[in-house]
Formats: sequence, C-alpha cells, structure tokens
Amino acid sequence: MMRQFTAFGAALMYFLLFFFCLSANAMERPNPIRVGYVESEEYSAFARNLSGIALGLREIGLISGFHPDMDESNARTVWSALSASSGGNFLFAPDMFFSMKGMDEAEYSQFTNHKDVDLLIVMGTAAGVYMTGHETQNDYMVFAAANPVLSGIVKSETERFKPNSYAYIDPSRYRRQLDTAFRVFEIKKLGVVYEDNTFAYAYSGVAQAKQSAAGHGFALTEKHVAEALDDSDKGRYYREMKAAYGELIADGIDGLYITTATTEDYMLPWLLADITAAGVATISQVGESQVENGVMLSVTLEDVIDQGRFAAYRLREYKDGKPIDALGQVFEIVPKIFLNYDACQMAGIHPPFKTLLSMDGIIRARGGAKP
Amino acid sequence: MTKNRWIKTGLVLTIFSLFLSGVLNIISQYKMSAEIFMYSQRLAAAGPVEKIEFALWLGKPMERFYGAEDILRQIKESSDGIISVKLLDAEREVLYSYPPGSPDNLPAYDVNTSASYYTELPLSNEGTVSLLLNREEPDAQSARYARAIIYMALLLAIAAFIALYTVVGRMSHGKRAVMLVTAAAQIVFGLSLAFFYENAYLESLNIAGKIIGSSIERDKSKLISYGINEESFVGFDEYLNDICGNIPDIERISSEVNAGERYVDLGGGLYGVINNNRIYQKFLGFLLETISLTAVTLFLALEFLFYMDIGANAQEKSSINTQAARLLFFLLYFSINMGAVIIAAASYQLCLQNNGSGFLVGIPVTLEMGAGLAAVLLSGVILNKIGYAKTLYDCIAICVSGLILSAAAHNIYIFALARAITGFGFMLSTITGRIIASSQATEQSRSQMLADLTSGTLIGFCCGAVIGGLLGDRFPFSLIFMISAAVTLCCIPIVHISRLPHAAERRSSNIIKTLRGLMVSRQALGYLAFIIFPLYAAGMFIIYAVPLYGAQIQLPTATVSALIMANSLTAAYLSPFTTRWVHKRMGAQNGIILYGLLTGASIAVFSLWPTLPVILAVIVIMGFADSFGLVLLLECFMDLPLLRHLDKSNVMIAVTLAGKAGQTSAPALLSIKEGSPLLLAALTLAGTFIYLCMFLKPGTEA
Repeated sequence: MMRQFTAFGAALMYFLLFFFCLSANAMERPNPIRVGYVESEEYSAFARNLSGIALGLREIGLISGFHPDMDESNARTVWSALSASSGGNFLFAPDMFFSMKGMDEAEYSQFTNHKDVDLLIVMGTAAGVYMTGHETQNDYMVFAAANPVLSGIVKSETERFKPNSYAYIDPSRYRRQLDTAFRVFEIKKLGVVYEDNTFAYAYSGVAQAKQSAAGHGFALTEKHVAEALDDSDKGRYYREMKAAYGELIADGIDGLYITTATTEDYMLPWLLADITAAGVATISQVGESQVENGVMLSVTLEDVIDQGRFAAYRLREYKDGKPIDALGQVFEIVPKIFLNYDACQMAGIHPPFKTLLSMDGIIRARGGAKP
Repeated sequence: MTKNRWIKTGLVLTIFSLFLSGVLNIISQYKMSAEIFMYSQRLAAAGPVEKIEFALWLGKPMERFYGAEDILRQIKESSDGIISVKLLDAEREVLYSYPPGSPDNLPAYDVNTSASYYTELPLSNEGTVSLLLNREEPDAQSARYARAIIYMALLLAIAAFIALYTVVGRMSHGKRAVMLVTAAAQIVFGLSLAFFYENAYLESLNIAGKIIGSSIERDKSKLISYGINEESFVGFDEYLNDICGNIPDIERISSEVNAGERYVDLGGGLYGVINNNRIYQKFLGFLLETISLTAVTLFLALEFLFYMDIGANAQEKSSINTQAARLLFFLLYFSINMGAVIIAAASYQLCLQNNGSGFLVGIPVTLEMGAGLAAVLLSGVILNKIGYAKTLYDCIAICVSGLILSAAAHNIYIFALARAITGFGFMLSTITGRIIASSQATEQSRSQMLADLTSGTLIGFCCGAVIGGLLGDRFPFSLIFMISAAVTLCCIPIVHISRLPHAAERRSSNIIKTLRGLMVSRQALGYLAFIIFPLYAAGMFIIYAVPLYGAQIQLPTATVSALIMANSLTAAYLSPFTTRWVHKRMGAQNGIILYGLLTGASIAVFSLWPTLPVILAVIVIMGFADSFGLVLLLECFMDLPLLRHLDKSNVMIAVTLAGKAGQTSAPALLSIKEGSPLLLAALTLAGTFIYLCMFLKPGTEA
C-alpha cells in the first residue's frame, strides 16, 4: 500500500514538474496590460507611427473603436483617441503620455519604474536611450529609433542589454537609401550635416552612409550644426545650416544627404537654393514630404502601416506571454522611391527615361513658401 | 507494270509525300506560331519586367516590392493573351500574383496544356516572372494555316493525278514519269509552304509589334501623366534599344525607316525595323528543311519504285530478291536511325529528370555499341543455329522490343538497356546481310548484292536521320521511338519477299579458328591493319568534321545535315555504277588503293585549306570514293588468297570487328591534334602506301 502511494505521488510530482517546465516560458500577463507612452519630442513621424500601431492592433482585433487619422501629426491626439478605444487586452493610460523635450530632466522619473503601468511604448532614440539607462521595473518597446544598436538601446538585432527591453530595427535602411541614390545620381562626393553628438550620429545614419560610401567608392564629407533647441533658436539653426551647405558646395560635393533634424519642410526651398543652383543632387532621409518641398530623391523607408502591423503582431505575442526579450526585432520596410522632377531640372540633372519609369512617384513641385 | 498500276503507284506516292510534308509543315508552323505568340507575350511583359529589374538594381527587395502588384497588373493588361502573371522567388515560391489569388500550382517550365501556354521570364536575381497564356489566338492562326495547306495539298493531288494520267502513257518508262510528277508536286508544294510560312511569320511579327507598341505607349503615357513632355525624355533611345535587345527579330525601333527596310508598325509614329538577317536565316532554315523533306520523300519513293520496277517481277523464285533485300535494309536503317538521332537528347533529358550525373548521358550509346560488338562476335553461332531468315525475323523482333522499351523508359538505366537491346538486334541484322551477300555463289552476284545493300543502308541511314531530326523538333521522344518501332515492323513481310535463305551455310570452323587462320596470313593482317582500320576510321571524317567546321563558320544545322546527306547519297546512288566500272577498269585491289588515296588526299587537303569550297569538293569526292570503296573493302578481303579456305561468315565477322575498331578510334584520332584531321589523313595515306608496297605487285589483277 505504502509502495503504491509513493509511486502515485512520484508520478504526480513528475507530471506537475513537466507541465511547469512546459509553461515556464509563457509568462503571466496582467489583464488588461496597462500601457504608457514616451517620446523624445513632439514629431509628426512619432504620431504616424503610433497611429500605425493602433491600426495594426485594430486589424488583428486587439482593440476596437479606434479610427486612426494617418495625417495626424500630434501624438498626444492619437494617444487620447487610443485611450478612448476599447479593447480587453490593453489599457492605454490617458495620463501616461510623456514628451521628453518639454520636460525637465528631473521630471523623467514620472515615467520610469512607474507602478501603475506594465508596458511603455517609446518613440525616438533619446527616449529609448534614457529608458535603457533607467527603466528597471517595466517592459518597454522602442520604435522610430534610427539605429537602436548603434545608439545603445539594444545590444544587437537579437540581443538586449536588459531583459525588459525591445527595439524595432530596420538594420540597413539608410544604406539602402544611399545605395539607390548612388545608382540614380552616380554620386562621387556626398555631403551630410548633423549635430555633433552620438544620438545625432545614430539617427542621421552616418555610420550606414559610410558603409555605402565604402561599398560604392564615393567620398563622404561631414559638417556639424547644432539642432534648434526651441522656436526662438530656429533662426540661428537655419542660418548655420545654409552656411554649412555653402561649405559643402565649396568642398565639391555632388550629392547632399538631408538627414532627420529639426528642419521644417517649408524651409527646404530656401535652404537648398544654393545647393540646387550648384547642380548638387539632394537625397531625403525622411521621406516624401521633403521631396514635395524640393528635395530631389527619397527612398521612403517609413511605411507606418506596415511597421504598425509588425508592432501589433509583436504586441499580440507579448500579450500571449512571450518574454519581451524573445520578440523578433528586425523588419525591413518595403522601399518606395519618389523623385522631384522639377528639382532635378533646376539643378540641370536629367534622369533618363528608364529611371523615371522605375519611380513610384514623380513629384512636380518647386517647394513650399520662402521664409 | 501496266499504265494504271504506275498511275496508282504514282498517286499513292505523291499523296504520301504531300501528306508527310504537309503534316510536318503544319506542326512546324504550329510550333513557330506558338513560339512567336509566347515570344510576343514575353515582349509585352518585357517592359514591366525591365522595371522590376531596374528596381531590384536600385535596391528594392523582391520579397517586399512596393508596386509589384501594379507592375503585374500592367503586364496582364498589356495583352489579351495573358491570363495571369506571377512573381516567383529563387525557390519558385509565389510572392505576388495578378489577378490576386491565381492558383499557385505552377506547371513545369514551358509545359503547355490543351487550354493554355505557360512561359517564364527569368530575373537577374534568380527570381522569375511567370505567364499563363490563352492559346486561342495562335491556335486559330494555326488552324487557318492548316486549312490553307490542306486545300493546297488536295489541289496538288488532283493535279498530280491528271499529270500522271497524261505523262505515264507518253514516257517510255513509267518509273521516270512517276518520279517526275512526284518531284514536281513536292517542289510546288514546298514553294507554296514557304510562301505560307513567311506570311504566317510576318503576321505573328505584326501582332508582336502591336503589343510592343502598346507597351511603349503606356510607358510614355505614365510619364506624360506627370506633366513631363515627350520632348523632354532623356535616354528614350536607350530604352527602345533595351526592348530590341529582347527581340532578335527586331533590329531597332525608330521613328524613321530607310528605303528597302522591312518593318512592323508599332503605332505612335514608331516602327520596328525587322532584322533581315534573321528573316533570311529563318527562311533559309525552313527552305533547307523543305528541301531535305522533299529529298527524303523522293528517295523513299525511289526505293519503293526500285522494288516495284525490278524486285516484284524479278528473278527466279529460288534466288534472293536483291531489290527486296535492298528495300529491307533501307527500311531497317531508316527506322532505326530515325530514333538514333535523338538518343543523345533523350539521354540528356532522362538524366535531367532523374537528377542524374552528366557522366550517365553517354551510357546508352556506349551500351548500344557494346551490344553491337557482342552481336558481331555471336553472329556466327546464332546464324549457324537458326539460319539467315529466322535470324532476321528475330533481329526485327529484338529491335522492335528495344524501341518500345526506349519509348517507355522513364530513367537512364532502362533507356540504356533498351538501347543495348536495339543495338544488338540492329548489328546482328547488319552482319547477317553482309554474310548473306558474301556467301553468294559468284563474285558478280556477291559484288552486286553488297553494292545494293550498301546503297540501301546509306540511303536509309540518311532518310532516317533527316526524318528523325524533323520529328524530334516537333514530337516527344517516346513517340518517335514508337514510330520507329512501327516502321521496323513493316520489315517483316519484306524478309519473306526477299527470299533470303533459311539455313545458314554449314561452317567449317568457329570464329577463333578463323582468327587464328587470319593471323597466319601476313597479307590479311596487313589488310586489316593498313586498309580496313584506317579507312573505316576515315569514313567517320564527314560525320565528325563537317558539323565541327559548320559550327565554326556558323552554317545552319540544316545546311550541315544537307551536306552530310549529299555525301551519303552520292555514295549510295553511284555505288552500282562505280563498283562495276572499277571492277572493269582496274580491278578490285587497285580500286582499294584508289579508294585509300582519294580518301586520304581529300582529308589532307581539307586539313591544310579548310574553306567552304574545299569541304564541298571533299564531300563529293569522298562520296564518289565511298560509292565503290565500301563494297570493295569487303570484297577484296574475302578474296585474299589465303583466306579463301576460311569460313566466309567468320571472315566477314573479323573484318567487321576491325572496321568497328577503326570507327571507334576515329574520334580520338580526330581530337589528338586540336581537331585537325591531318593525322587521320596521314594514317590513311600511309596505310594505303604501305599495303601497296608490301603486298601488291605491279600489274597484279584484283
């Protein structure tokens, strides 16, 4: 009798252990998952990214009652709409929206290690770097960071510095842009202007520009201009940008890579007047909006709907219990190529017939208003 | 034969030749129409595919290609003939398709069904654009063409009947009248086929031109819709040149046409100037094909007429009907060689299907030759046991079995076995014919029979090779082997009509004793070493050197085949006359020396001055030399003094083995010195000279 009881007990222990092991990898998640939002600064791309994620969540049925406006440029507006949506799995906390640029550094602790939130959606490199350095309690997912590996948000495409972190990575997006630009314009010397710090180096894609230059044999020349701190600093910023472009023209560039910065689209025609007159090809890192304002070529790597769908699938996996450091980070966006034909003509650049046919869009615009 | 019989014979032969020409030509046009149709649909897709290629070059990945569906839609809408389009990756997984949701089951490359055609355009990154095509239009065009051909053939048949009725009575010999009418009908038919074919080709090009024009117009409209003026287009000529690069039939696309140039109107003020060289090559190829076909049908008719004129009424009932024997070996060589020309291609296809190594491709031919050698070695025993006629019946049965197995073979090993079986039966029948000829009572009858058999086999070999080549372009290999088997079966009643002896001659010794006997005779050994071996090797010169030379100067394949055929036919038809002439004028032994000198000298001259006129002269001279030489080679050996006491069958086997050794070594000899046949020429001339000095005294009568 004793022997049989012991055998039964051992078998029960064995099965319990077995099922414990089986379920060890799947983590218990709170229901609903309380979500907060942190962005580096107010930036239209962040708003569109957030809208894309929301759209993706709606597509796969994780939220409902949300009707995105993909043109909305203010992330706070999008967040408010998300907070008002219903969805049993996620609760987008209306009071957990933070934009770092408008806050004092001492206020950053408002969103780090918060007890009333389970997951943070983070937009931008600066916000991502800060979270990596300070967030220890809650999980966080970083989107819209130009180069999360180079900027130290994550260790690599598959490794993390911290087990509670995640970053969406498009590993060679900027290199692909410049590879295409090289083939279209046959650039021999490319100029790039960015703020002289590690963040700007990362989100300006300078490392990948160097890789493209090395691969195709064109030279790369760099100038530095500090970003505008606020609206009152913009005058200084644009003057210095114009001067930097002038220096690059004197250096003999035949291509200019216009990177992510505080440059407003409507200022581009004025900024690029000398560049265009010098016959320099211009390539936008940001996208179609800059092409509409006089930049010649953009290889758009921002498809917020596709990215949002990818993010939504990762969030579903997270909701189902997959550890955040096991979620796949890499996703390459389908590139779309846009050309400003008039800008090319003004610079005396005449793309051949075949090249024009391969463009996904040809824009006939000479740019926005002068300042 | 009576007049009515000649008329009926002539009508049957004319109708048969028109039928054969017509069927092959309709299939040829059908294939051409399908090719140009698929070609033009690929052209329609070429412009959008260029965009895909350019976009890939610009850095867009295939798997995430923005605008792929739009490009596929453009391809679909570029032509009514396109049912669906797919973009496949390197692993042939479907990435995009239009219409969306088109079935994923892709047919194998270029396999067509009764409802549609399938074709592909490869991309530089190992991806593919696949097109499923509606075949209604090319089928309708082919049907129109076929109707025209049939009406023409019917008209010609009626005209032939009237001509036969008129001509047969007026000409002294019915055979000549029949040949004249059959030839005339075939020539007129061939010319009209050429006319129809050219029209069909140009019609297809016009359709293709409209598709190209639409594609160009669409591309222009796209940029014009962005407000870009046509005058502002940069690099438009380069874009048009890239389209031409995909279309060998179109030399250039331009808004201007020079005087004398043929063109297709692409619309929008653009013209596709037709590549005259290509039209010329197509037309020449078609013409040569038609001439080859005409020649083959005439030779087929001639062989039957030979039999009907002489053979049916010939000779005493107890003697061999040599004309029927000639017809028998003509048909046998015709049917077996019909399949022989496609063995290499069939072996390669079977290797590909079964992912076999390239090394296996040569195994069927090797086994076939090996089995043939075994047949020669065993022929003495077999003939002794079961006799000539029965052996031939068995050979036909073996060949038919081998051909049916060749048709049914689904892997290279079974195919190799099938070829071994066929090779055994075929070689056994060949050696049987030679042994029968060599065992004739008188020298004259032996010589005559050898000449007839040689002619029949040469012509059958040529005709079979031509027909096999023409059928191989149009039908699957298995069908050709089955046709070959069916024609081989027709040889059975001709064995009976030939009145070949049933019992073999009683032989006094076996092959080993005969070979020992040969060893004793220095002259026999000398003959084998210095005459048989080099001259049989030299006999392979035309088959190896002419295609090689033709490829160097870019002669069309049909021209090369025609040249080889001309050589064989010269030998075949001159054989009875030249053999008699040589016997009469100089004797057999001196005839052999002449054969050796002509052959060696011809090959040497070509080696030193390899030009087209020289190769033409060599072909004619070697054909003339073969016409008597091939017969005398065997005759002289049989007549060597010390061999007369040996068993003739075994002697024939021995000389056949030596000849086979020469033929087998020919490729190696021709390739030793960078393909130059000079070594072969030297061997032949030296062998002839040595034999002359060592064994032939001045004034020796053969």
